[in-house]
Amino acid sequence: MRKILTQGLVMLTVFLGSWAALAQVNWVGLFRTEQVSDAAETRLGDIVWKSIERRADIVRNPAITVPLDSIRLRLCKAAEMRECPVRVYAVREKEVNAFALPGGRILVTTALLAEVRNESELAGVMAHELAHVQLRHVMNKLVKDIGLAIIVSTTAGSEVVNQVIHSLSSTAYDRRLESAADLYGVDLLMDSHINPQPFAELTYRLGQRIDDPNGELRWLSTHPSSEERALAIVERTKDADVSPVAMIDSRGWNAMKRALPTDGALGR
Amino acid sequence: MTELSDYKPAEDEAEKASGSYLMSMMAMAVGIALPIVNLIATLIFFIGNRRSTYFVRWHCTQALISQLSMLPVNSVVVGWSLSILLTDRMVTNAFVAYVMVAAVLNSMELVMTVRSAIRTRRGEHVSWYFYGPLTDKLCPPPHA
Repeated sequence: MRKILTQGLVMLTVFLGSWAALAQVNWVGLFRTEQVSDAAETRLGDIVWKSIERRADIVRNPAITVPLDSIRLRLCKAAEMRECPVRVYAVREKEVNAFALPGGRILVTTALLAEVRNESELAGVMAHELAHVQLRHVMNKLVKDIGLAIIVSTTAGSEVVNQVIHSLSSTAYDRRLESAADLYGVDLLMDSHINPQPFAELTYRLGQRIDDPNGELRWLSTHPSSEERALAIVERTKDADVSPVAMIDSRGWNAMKRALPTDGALGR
Repeated sequence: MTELSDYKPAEDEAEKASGSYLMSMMAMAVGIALPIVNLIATLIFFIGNRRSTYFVRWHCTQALISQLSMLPVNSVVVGWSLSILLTDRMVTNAFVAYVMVAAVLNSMELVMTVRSAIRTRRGEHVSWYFYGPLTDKLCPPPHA
């Protein structure tokens, strides 16, 4: 019996030891299994953005764009992005939604802007989407959903572009990635001197709205378990010492709110 | 153990003992995608020969437990791969390393299986590292 146990232990040790040793090698980097070059990501982002610009109603009203830009710059500074490649756009849309495109563009709908109660809630959503960009969730999701070969091809047709837009705006990231984006986003908020608590409140508030007959809470449907997420955010921030510094004064915030129509649509 | 080393099996015994290894080898092509197939094939052969001679039973048992140990290893590969294909889980260094180790183990298993099938067909006794002593324990001689 002793011989069996000894030999079994030797085999198990060799198995686990080989696995642990081989896992130290950067196979992912060597095989380039998930890395799409920054140039390819930027190119794809540009193609998708042009398509969105053609068919969606992008808001150009400074009353909306200036507050978004203030938050964007604050977040970029905290994320130590020197030239801040992230751009935030408001899209005239009735669904409460926000999503990131390859290359760093973040889209928020006018319905979301109508939904948020203060700048911290809005910054929380933007930080969460920025986290998806920074953590390469966007490209990894597209590689998974659509395929690497198609994505990096220089002749991305309208079908591919439609798939990319659908994948990013209407389907959820894995729960693990959502949690990672939440935590990264919360850290970013704290580094930016933005109170993360309102973001937790927003996710909780949206999570309480079980009835969504018109499907208007798109962001909620692509971000499941909002109550659970809110608790995780609260847990992350409970010992944090954040001294909030305002980004938008009350006049600017009220001007943005006034520029939003009640049905979520908005004139240019 | 010593008794089997000295034992000269009859022609049909050698054929059946060799068949237990061949059975697991034949199912290997299917078993890579669905690991349980290997085990089921070997198990069927084992049950079919459980009343056979000691030499045949011993080799059927060794083939069975070697397949049994590969089942969890290969099941993890299949499950992990499916989770990568069907969810947002990413290919990681740990995954690539695990697939490599599993591939080496499967190759060693294949080599040992082929070697055992050939040698038992010649009437020779083959006892594998770890599996041999374990089989001795699970399949004691009739008079023990």
